[in-house]
Amino acid sequence: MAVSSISPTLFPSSTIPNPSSPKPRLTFLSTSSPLSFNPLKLPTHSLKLSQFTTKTFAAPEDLQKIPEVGASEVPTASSVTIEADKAAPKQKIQIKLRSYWVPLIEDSCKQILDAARTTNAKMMGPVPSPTKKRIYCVLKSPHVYKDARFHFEIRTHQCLIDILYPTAQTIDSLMQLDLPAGVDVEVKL
Amino acid sequence: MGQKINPLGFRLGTTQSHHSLWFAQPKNYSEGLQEDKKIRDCIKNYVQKNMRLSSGVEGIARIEIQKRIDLIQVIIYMGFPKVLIEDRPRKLEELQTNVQKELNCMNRKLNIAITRIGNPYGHPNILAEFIAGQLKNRVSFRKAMKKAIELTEQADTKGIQIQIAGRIDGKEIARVEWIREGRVPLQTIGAKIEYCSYRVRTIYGVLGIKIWIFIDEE
Repeated sequence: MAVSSISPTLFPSSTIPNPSSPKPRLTFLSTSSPLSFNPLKLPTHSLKLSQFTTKTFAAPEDLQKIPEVGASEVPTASSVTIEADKAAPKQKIQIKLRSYWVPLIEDSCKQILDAARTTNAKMMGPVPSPTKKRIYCVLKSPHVYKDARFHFEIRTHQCLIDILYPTAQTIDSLMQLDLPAGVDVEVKL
Repeated sequence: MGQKINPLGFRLGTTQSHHSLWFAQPKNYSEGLQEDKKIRDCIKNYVQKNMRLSSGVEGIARIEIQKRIDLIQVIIYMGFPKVLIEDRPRKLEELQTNVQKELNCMNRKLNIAITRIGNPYGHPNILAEFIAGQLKNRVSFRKAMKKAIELTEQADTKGIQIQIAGRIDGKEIARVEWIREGRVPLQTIGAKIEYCSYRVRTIYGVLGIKIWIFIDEE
């Protein structure tokens, strides 16, 4: 897991040696969601990213309070490695934002970009990935009437931001950031 | 006429906003949902229990929940926040400890805030509780509905529709009664319509109250 997370281009290198490994992951995901209709439409590259990302971005308050001691939910290994590897040239931070609401994600993107821009770090701008739709189909009636149904969907919007050559300053300002509640952030080094 | 769709769900993308703001991976989505339900039930039960003592209508309009990684923020929109604001710190803290015990999670802080709504009778949940109280006291249903509409007139709305279904006046045969004031355009998605469906338990059975309030047109 650690080897593959360092190389930024995961896709070609990981598919060749074990072509069968993505498949069981695909079916696992599709059976876990009870009534979703498009298991095969999930784009494979995002699948692999979700396989390999093990670290979640910790909330700024949490990290400030518990700097070195490991808490149950906060993987402080990430903060330790950030400080350690800041001088390495090929190091970059990949931030992945996920949300159900478009204006929230746009807001968060802007905040992160501003924070990184003020500290002069080179970055690849917000790259929106395709929106994932999970569709649930339920029967309308409590008994009988199989033909009357109701479709609901959950749309997940994704946005990728790359920060190359991160300095300790950028990392500090990113930790300070308080993103709105409905956005899920994943940080990968 | 066929079945009517819930106007809140119909307008979710446009004029209606979500009451719960959080993101969860599909694996953890059901847990988040159950937590939300527990929080809402806990708050409603607590307010109902303590309402007996102070009397009057305690109206909870809606409960907004925002979840971050380390913090759960709950905002309660109330019409008459008497119960929770009278002895200010005590009741709120009691509520907070209650909810935290329900949730069983010590790694996330819980924060409960209360917001007062201007024009409480412009919100269907509070109105429904008012009508429910009246029906329980065996007031004639038509009087109760008309009184509710009068209250709404003061609160500046453009239209209201009230429907009561069940054993009205304790009669054996159940029926559906409804009245409407102003206009309530349910087919217009751009119209802001607040809706509430409320259950009253009387000695004769359960009555269902549905209220549609037309607030504004964009």
